[in-house]
Amino acid sequence: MNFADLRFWQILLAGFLVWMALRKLAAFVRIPWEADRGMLAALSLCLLFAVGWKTLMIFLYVALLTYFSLSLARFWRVPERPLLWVLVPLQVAPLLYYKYGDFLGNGILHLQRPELTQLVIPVGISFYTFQKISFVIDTLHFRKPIPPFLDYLNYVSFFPQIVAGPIERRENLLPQVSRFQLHFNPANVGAGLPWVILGFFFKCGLADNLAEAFPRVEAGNAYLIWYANLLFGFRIYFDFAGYSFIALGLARSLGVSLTLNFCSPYCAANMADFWHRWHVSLSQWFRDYLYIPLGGGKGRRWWGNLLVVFVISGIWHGAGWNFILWGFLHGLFLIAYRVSPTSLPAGIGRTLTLVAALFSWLFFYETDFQLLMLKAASLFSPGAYGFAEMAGLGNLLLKPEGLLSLFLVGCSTLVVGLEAYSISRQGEAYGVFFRPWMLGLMILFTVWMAPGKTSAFIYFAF
Amino acid sequence: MSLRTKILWLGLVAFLGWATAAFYSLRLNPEVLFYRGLSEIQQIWADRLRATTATQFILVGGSSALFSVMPERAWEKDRVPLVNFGLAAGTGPQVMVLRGLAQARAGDTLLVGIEPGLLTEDGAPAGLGIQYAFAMGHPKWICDPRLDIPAMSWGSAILALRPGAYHMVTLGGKLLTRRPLYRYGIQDVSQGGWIRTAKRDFDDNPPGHGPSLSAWSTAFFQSLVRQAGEKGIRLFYVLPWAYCPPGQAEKFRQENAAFLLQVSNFMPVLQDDRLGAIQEKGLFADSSWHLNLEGSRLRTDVLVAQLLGGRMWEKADLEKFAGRE
Repeated sequence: MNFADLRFWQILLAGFLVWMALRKLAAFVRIPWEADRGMLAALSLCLLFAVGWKTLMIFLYVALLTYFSLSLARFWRVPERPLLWVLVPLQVAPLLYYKYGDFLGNGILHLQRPELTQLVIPVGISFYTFQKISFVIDTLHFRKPIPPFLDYLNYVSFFPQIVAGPIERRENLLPQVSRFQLHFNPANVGAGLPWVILGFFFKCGLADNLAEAFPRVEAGNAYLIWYANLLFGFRIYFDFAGYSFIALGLARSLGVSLTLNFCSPYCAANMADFWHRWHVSLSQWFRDYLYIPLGGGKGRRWWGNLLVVFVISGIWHGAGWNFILWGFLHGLFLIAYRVSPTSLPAGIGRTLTLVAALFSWLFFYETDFQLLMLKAASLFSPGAYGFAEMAGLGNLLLKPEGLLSLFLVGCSTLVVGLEAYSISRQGEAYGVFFRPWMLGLMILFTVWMAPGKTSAFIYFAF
Repeated sequence: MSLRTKILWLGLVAFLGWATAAFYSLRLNPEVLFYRGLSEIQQIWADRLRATTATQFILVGGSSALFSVMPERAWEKDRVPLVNFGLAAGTGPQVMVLRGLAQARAGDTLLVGIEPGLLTEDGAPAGLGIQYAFAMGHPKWICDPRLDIPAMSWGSAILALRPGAYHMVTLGGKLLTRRPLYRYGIQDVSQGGWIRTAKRDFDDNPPGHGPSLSAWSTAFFQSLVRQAGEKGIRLFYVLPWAYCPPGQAEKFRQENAAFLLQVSNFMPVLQDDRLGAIQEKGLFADSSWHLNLEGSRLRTDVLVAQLLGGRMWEKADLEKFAGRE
């Protein structure tokens, strides 16, 4: 279910046409039409099936297990804590197997099982598993009613957000899909369309080109490593935010509001602020279901809680030591921010946050651990900042790929600058992009500049 | 602006944006224009040969084919009816081969000289390949290839008629520095469709490729072999020559032998003991895959000798070179 793939839109359009035709037919034979929620679930499952039958089966396993276990437990009055101890591991089992099987089995336990290296991570498994865990916890902890099955199915399978979030809580999405009705509302389309355009501009216009321009960099040249970090930092933001905005726009066109998953993270004033702006729904998930239950920011072990949360966040992003280190680093950054005695001037705070975020991206994209360590060491080595190294960067920038990357860095910086301007003028990060002439410009840029091949969404792998 | 007007305006911008991008890609893009012109020259040569001889050898591949084999020399020196249908690597294996298949008749030999790197990656056509096929009036090479490989939908192909940022930025750079809009000109093309360039600047990086044929290439070769068999067309694989720094030649040869071993499961591979690794930099022009005049003469003579001799690699020999004994 890749929004940048024409096939997705073709299936979606065909699905809506069938839907509309059935509604017309029902009106023609004068049968009251109450099947919109059923059609929404069917369409979502069809789109998931189009990705692969295995993807659908794994999704259904987690979805049905969650719903029927909860229903039976409530019927038999099973206490909350034992149920959680049994149900959550069962929910997480497919995620553990597909995403971490190779890392745990071959990487840590040295089982030498070649079949584990062949495992393909089912699309969206990290996102929908976390959403279903949150459903179980919210339902049990707050003694919420178990919704009708169809509403539950729509909540967990809502097609715009199933494969890459946002990870929605039941109190936000469930009531909306429970009263869902398909009708063409121009106001909804008007609210959703700009997000879809902005999403495509971010994803196809910027992120896909940044993926093509990303250089292969060896250790030893700090300038090149910083430059690669900068390119990757822009790429991952535009890639994931782009996807999230298309999801948001699609949902809004259908009259459903999703969480704004990104809010100009590179304009963050400090590291805590960064995590309020980057992958917002995941940050909230970790805060509510892990950080606060661990004790949160109170007590003497607050720093330990932070480290645990961010290391687990790193593991969520990928199975590898580099991701664990990435999470650990962010934990350290937040601890440093909290213990710093004075608040820094805004400009310095923003710069430091940006530098820290860019530094950490090295741990995200470099999966060869030895090379990662060498590159990280280069960034702290004065010898890696010599004239010869600067000339190396110059040589890269003079090549066609380098020119492309420079152009894209310019465009990306302009976009982040416009976000900052929008925040200062309108109080929201993306308002300036929704002016009609800006929308037109973004369409033209995307049509002319998007590369021939679309890269997969980075977060599909998570 | 009312919502209806806004949606109409945005739709119009999108359509006009695409229409101008498609027009540019098919009619103005210097790269596409060059390859169209080149293809016309190659086709004239192929037709001239067809009028003279019943069968011909048709070489398909990327620029390594285009810059290495001189059909005129093969004809004038040895009376070997050779057609060079070399294109840019960016057109992709599917377009290269389908163009050759369209030319081939029963009794002809299709020489598949596609660079290994293009066959160890996903070979689905993109960018230049799609634009070239449409510009040549053969969109079916993309959307209905009649091979058992996934065809690109018409919608996706039509939407791909766009230049992309890489093209636009490099074009902007050329305009600013007043350099030619494309690296090569049609005046560089010989009457046989071989191309030469006076440029001599390239890095010494050793050419490399992935360890095995991609799933796409495997399916592509299976289908190609079947279709060629049905049409009575012979298939040979010809490994392109590439410059390789002396210290790295053995490793490159070993990689190539392992690659040829896989290709030999589908079609005979012409035997060339160099195994694609050429250590004389003086034979190359502006890239480690582009031979100069002297190199092309040598390459053509070697290829002609191979075709006349008909020696193919034995699997056991390739296994030995690949270090799998």
